[in-house]
Formats: sequence, C-alpha cells, structure tokens
Amino acid sequence: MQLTKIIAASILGLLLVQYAYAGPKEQAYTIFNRLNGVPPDSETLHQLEQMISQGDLKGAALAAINDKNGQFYELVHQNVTTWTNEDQQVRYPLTDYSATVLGMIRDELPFNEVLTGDIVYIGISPDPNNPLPPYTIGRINNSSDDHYEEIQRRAYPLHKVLVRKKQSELTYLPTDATAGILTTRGFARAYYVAGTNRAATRFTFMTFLCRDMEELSDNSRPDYRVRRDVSRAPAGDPKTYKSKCAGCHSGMDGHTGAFAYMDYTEEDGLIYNPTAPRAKFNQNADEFPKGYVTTDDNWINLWAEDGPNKSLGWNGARSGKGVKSWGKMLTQTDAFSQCMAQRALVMVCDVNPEEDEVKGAINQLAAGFRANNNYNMKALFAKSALYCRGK
Amino acid sequence: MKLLTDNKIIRASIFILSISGLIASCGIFAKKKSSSGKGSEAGEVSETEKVSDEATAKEEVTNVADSLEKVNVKVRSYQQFYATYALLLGIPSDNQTYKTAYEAVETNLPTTSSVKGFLGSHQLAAVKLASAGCDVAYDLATETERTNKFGIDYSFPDGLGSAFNTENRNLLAKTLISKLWNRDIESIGNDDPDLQTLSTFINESSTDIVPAGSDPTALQIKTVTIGACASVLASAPVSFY
Repeated sequence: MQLTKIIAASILGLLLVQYAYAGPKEQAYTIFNRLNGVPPDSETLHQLEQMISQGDLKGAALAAINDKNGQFYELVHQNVTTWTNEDQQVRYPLTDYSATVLGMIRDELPFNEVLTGDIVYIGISPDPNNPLPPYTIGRINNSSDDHYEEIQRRAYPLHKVLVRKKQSELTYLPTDATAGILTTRGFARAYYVAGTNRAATRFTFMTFLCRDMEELSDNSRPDYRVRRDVSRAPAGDPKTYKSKCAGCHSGMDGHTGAFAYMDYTEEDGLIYNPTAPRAKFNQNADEFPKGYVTTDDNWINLWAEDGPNKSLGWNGARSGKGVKSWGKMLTQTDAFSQCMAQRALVMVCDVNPEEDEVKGAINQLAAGFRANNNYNMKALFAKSALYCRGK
Repeated sequence: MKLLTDNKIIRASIFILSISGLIASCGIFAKKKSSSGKGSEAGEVSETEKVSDEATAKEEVTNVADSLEKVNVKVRSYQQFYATYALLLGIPSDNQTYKTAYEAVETNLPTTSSVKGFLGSHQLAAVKLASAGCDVAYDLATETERTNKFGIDYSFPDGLGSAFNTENRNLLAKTLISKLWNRDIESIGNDDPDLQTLSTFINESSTDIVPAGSDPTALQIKTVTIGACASVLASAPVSFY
C-alpha cells in the first residue's frame, strides 16, 4: 500500500515536471535544451525568457545556438558524423567532411554549396607555439588524418577553431574539380575507396536527399547506362536482372559517371585524375560486354524525365560532366531542401517524419530554407526548435 | 564511496527512471487549449475562450512556427551527459578527475537520442558519472559554496548530529530537485512527492551508514550528500529532455 502510494506520488511529480504549461521560461528552457543537448545556465535562461516574453522566438532560438559553450555544434557534430561513414556510426573521427559541414552551418553559408563549393574547414590552434599538424588530403602532400585527429585529441571547441579555406589553395584540386564535401578526404575515404564508386552516389542521395536505393528503384527507366560489371542474367535468369537489378542500376549508374575520375587509397589519399576513368569503372567487363563503357566523367539523370523519382523536384541540369555539376543538380532539387528540413527537425525535435503533421512542418521549413533564408542551415535549426518548444 | 551506498544510489535512480521512462516513451503532449479541464462542444465556446483562442492564433502566426502537438522525449548522448552534469554541478571543463571518470564510462553511455534504445547499462554508466561528478563538485566547493550547492549549512551550527534531521533532509532534497531539475524552489512544498521520495532515500542512506546513536562523520555526511545528488542527477528529468 505504502509502495503504491510512493509510486503514484512519483508519477504525479514527474508528470508535473514533464507536462507543465510551457510559459516563456519553460519554452526558453526547452528551446535551449533541444538545440544544445544540455540545459541552459540561469543567466542564459533568463535572457532567452526575456526574448520570448517580447515575442522574439526566433531570436531566442538563434541566441541558444550561438551560446558561448558551443554545445549546439557538438550536437550537430554527432549527427553529421553519421553521414561520414558507411556504418553511420556516431563514434567516428572528425574529418574534413564533418568539419566543413559544421563550419558552413556556423558561418551561415548557403548550404546548397555543400556539394559544389571550393571550400573546406580546417582547424587553427589557439596556441601559436603549438600548431596543429598540416591539413593534407594526399596525392601531392602526404595523406593523413593527423590534422583533425589532433583537434579532437586536444579537445578544441569546434565552434571556435574551425576556419574557412579554399580546397583549391590547400590541395592539388583545381577550382573546377572541387565540389564541397564530395571532394574532401573524409568523403573519399568512406565512399571512393575500392568498390565501384556507386557508394558515393548511394550515400549522397541518402544523406542529402533522404532517399536510399530501395525508394529510388524504378524499373521503368532505360538501362543503357548500366555498366558492364552488372550481370544481365544473375544465376542465369534475365528476369532477376529486370526485376531486382535494373531498377537501381539504370538510374544509379547514370549518376555515378560523375565520379569516374575519383578514387581513394590509403597510400595516395584522395585521387582525382582527369586523364582517364578509374579502372574500377570498367572492371569485370566480362559480366556483360555490351554494357556501358565509361570513357569520361559525364553523368545523366534518367530519373528526372519520368517515373516515381520525378517527384523529387529536379530543377537543374539533367546531364553534365564531373562531380561539381552533379552536386549542383542535387542541391537544386526540392528534395534537398526537404531533406535538410527533415534532418534539422528530427535532430532537434525527434519527431516521426512520416506523420502528416510533421510532413506539414517539414514542407513549411523547406520552403523557407529555399526561398527566404538562402539555404541557411543555422536559421533552419532555429526555426525547427520552435516546433517543439511547447505551448 | 561505500558499495552499499553505491547500490542504494543505483536503486534509487533506477526507481525514479523506470517510472518516468514509462511516461517518456509515450511522448510529450502539449497542453490542451482549455485549461479549465472542461471539454467544450462545438457551438458552446464562450466569448472569453474565443478572445483567448484568437489571441493564441495571432501569437502563433507572429511567432513564425506553430508548435507540434506531439514531440518525442530524447535521451542525452554520451557527450551530452558529460556536459550536462558538468554544467549543472559547476565543474570546470578542464577538471581532470571528472574527465577521467567520464572516459571510464563513455562507451557505456547512449550514442543515440532514442528513448527506446536506452538500456540498463546506460543507466548504470550515468549513475557512475553522476556519482563522480557530485564527488568532484563536493570537493571543489568551499563550505559556503557547498551550502549554496546543496542547501544545508555545512558548518552545522547545531552539531553534526543535526546533519540529516528532517529539516536538513528536506532542504537538501529541495535544493537538489530545484537546481538539477530546473524547478522553482518555491514550488516544491514539503508534501511534494518527489521531495518526499528523495527525503526518505536520504534518511535510509544515513541510517544505513551512521551507527545508531552516533553523530555522522564528515566522510559519512559527504557520502550521503553525494548519494542524494547522484540519484537526482542520474534520473529521468535530467537524462531525458
């Protein structure tokens, strides 16, 4: 009896904690907590409460993001880290890929440049007498992760030490060949290593358009771009190819042409060699000798003209050459804005993006992200936090 | 800290967490518009309610975004546990003792924000980190700061025997709940169920480790204080957000 009373009393007490009416103070607390993953100190809480009382909700959310402790960037870093490795692990080292995403968010750069820009973020040691190891991506300077590993080992606050640089100035890549995170060492190590470079296409779609291959599969597309390494009769059955392989490969192989000059090895790091496609693009030609032969880095988007993937909202070119133009085509889709809005809202509010009410919020956020905020991710996170501030 | 007390902390925090975990898994539902508790049928809305609704609607338009009705509770990840405890306890970021304690449990703390993925091993790691954090915060504080942090006058003007009398137990419980759970201290009455649960836990802890008829030693006072601190810190209102 006594135990039952204690349990009932505790439930009541905790209900009061969790369900209390959200006035300005509670909203300030929630907004800060959601954006930073830690609660605010009393001074910050008071400041945010004042802003909310005066109706400046978005200002309060931005102030929470810009908090001096920079915990927002730790939270974003954990989420972005899952983008940078095939296993989508959270416990994975900082790389130039994740650092560049964080820097672009912090500096409010147009995030549609994330797949096109001549941009990379590196660290600067706060102690001039104890510099960081140099940033290297390989090929003409030794390839290593020492630079970013040392930033983490020294526990430097990411919101303070990252500085913006041009890839073309720090690496051997010419400006035309740079493509934001697609030409970072971190991306290369994860998605250009060995294999066929199809992983680069798949994971870019997953990360930036929120679509994996199962959702993109479309058997209605012509398969003339499918490469020679894909058997047209797996286990001797052409129907298997038609029903299970062609749906993904027809579109994907057309896209993956953009990565024909890209590669990664532990010895050389990121490899960009525009003289000829990497051998992996024409390997296993005996599987189907009449398949597509890769001769350069041209790509084509066969999903844009018709079929279920037309709904992704393709607004840019349907074909091109190289990673930069391909990245631009992706960031011009409606799906890119919606995916970024979804990622921000889920990260901050932990909502189910399949629910109708949440879909409405995502559409609203995506429209603002694209039209009014010039692809400003920081503003997108701030607005997202307002959706779960309580009432 | 004695093993006995460690076990009591774990029991207490799991007790608190298990109850609130049930609530958390259902998600937070925003407060309904009618605060009176009366359900209004269509066509029966009073003028006062109409004005109130219009004002609310106007406010929401002005505020850019409406708030979603249902939002899931999140659980803090490993780094957030570390940062949250440090912030709530006022531990400087360069404190090596606390950092070492974190590194020992880091891999046992959650990596995702999903409450459904929260395991018993995560809770044990949170309790260990909370205990280490409370220990560090206790040691770092001067007597005055300790009084401010934990509520009790650690100079004990009425003697050590008064350390965990009813008044001090309630004071310690109230201060911890207020500071660590972000509740206005004025709102925590002596009949508050959370306060009563914690006060009972403090009483049982002190009774366990202080021999009957003896005054508690300084170490025993510290042990009980840290136990209470850790059980509040490693509980759902801090772990979940």
